[in-house]
This record gives sequence, C-alpha cells and structure tokens, in this order.
Amino acid sequence: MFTILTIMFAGILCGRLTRRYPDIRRTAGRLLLPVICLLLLAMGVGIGANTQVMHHLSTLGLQALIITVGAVAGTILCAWIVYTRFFRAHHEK
Amino acid sequence: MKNSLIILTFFAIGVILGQLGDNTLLPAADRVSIWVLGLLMFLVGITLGGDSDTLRQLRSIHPRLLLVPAATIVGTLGGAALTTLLPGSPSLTECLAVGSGFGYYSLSSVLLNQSHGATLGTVALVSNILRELFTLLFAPLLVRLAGPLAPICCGGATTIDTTLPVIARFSGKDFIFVSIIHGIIIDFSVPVLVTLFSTL
Repeated sequence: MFTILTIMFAGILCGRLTRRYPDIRRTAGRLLLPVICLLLLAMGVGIGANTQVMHHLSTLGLQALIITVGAVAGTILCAWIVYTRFFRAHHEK
Repeated sequence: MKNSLIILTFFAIGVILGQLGDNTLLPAADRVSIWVLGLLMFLVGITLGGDSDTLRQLRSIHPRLLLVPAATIVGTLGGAALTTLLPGSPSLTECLAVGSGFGYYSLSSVLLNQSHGATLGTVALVSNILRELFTLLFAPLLVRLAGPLAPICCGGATTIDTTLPVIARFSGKDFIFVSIIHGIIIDFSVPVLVTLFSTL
C-alpha cells in the first residue's frame, strides 16, 4: 500500500517541477475521470464475479450505512463545537 | 453530480459483466486495477503539486481554518470507531479505514479492495457514496442544526468539487474558501489515512 502513496508523492514532485507548463496539469486533470471510470469498471467486475459479496449485499449495505451514520454524527458534533467556539463570534460581527 | 453518475454507471456495468462473465475476467481485472490505481495516484499527485495557487493559498491561511478539517477527521474517526461496538460490525481498524474515505468513494473503495478484498471494498464504496448523498440532500438542515461548518465537515473530501455548490448556497459565500481549503486537506488525507488503517 505504501507503494501507492510513494507514487502519489512522485506525482506531486513531478507536478511541482513542471509547474511552468499548465498543459501537463490540465491533461492530468482531464485524464482523472476516465481513469477513475476504468478503475471502478474493473472493481465492478471483481465484485460482480465475487459470489460471496453478491450474496451478502444487504448485510454489507447495512454495515456501510451504520459506519456512515456514526462518522457523520461524530463529524456534525465536532463541526458544531468548532463553529460555536471559534467561528461564530467572527462570522456574526 | 454528472461525473458521479458516469462513474457509478461504469461500476454498474462492471458488476453486470462480472456476474455474467466467466471468471477468467477476474484475474485480468485485478491486474489491470493495480496498474490503473498507480496511474490514478500519479495523476492526483500531478494535479496537487502543479497547482501553485493551491499551495500559495495553503501557506497563507489563518490557523483557525485548520480546525475545520481537524473537526472532520476527529469526528469521523471517533464516530466510525464507535460503530465497531455494534454486533456484526467490521473490526476497529476496518471501520476506521472505511470512515477515512471521507466521501471519496472511488479512491477509498479501490484502495480497500486491494488491501482487504471485495467485501470491505464494497462497504467502503457504499458508505462513502452515502456520505456524499447525505451532504447533498441535507445541507440546509445541517446548517440550521449545527451551523454553516456542518455541511463542510460532513462533505469531507467532496467539498472541493461535488458538494461545493450546495455549501456555497446554504452555508453562504463566506464559507466557499473554507470549503475549498477543507476539501484539499481532506483529499490529501484520504490515501494517507486509508493506507495507515489498512496496514494496522
């Protein structure tokens, strides 16, 4: 997995070094969507062919929902604390 | 939104192909996805590193603004960690890894698909799609309940693109800059945190 991070940092370095050529960045940005589509297509094939996943889809969906509810609830609480403590006074001025 | 639909369509086509096809497709799909993932990360890096405006903005921001992504990370990981207590839930590190997607479903699900297999990859995909959907649908309610930062923190990594319009509309114009900075920092933390929790 760290290989993946290393590749990203290599990309950041290349991006920094080629900053003067915005075309490179723009092309990279434009390639993102087709590459993501290709990845999700490949991932879909893997999931569709995986009978274990397909049979337990409702259980997996429920697990996903529970994690989302927990994560979102914690996030809303923290957002509220940060807003009332550090932002409201500035914002309402 | 349009892009999300395109991405989901490709995913759905993949699932159908996988179900119909003989399993000879499977190793090929696996091999392709590792290389394509590397390419994706390289491209993400180039767009991050090449954007001198972004880097300049990051250097000049008020430290107070950093509290917003901090709230997102602390709240998400705290909440996700609690769900592991429920019966039938994944392990603590798995819950944290799924939560660390912060709505960036394409990247987090592919990363977890590689490290933990299709089961957790699917959970990450659904969980993070739900997070983006929730933010898009409930932004006005979130602002009223918990203030203008709530949809920003809730949107996670998507506040720089898909959820930015609803944030601008319901949190107000004053929060667009906060939303963008937040999105950049969280975007960056997704691969780092997902990798961290999936290796623990």
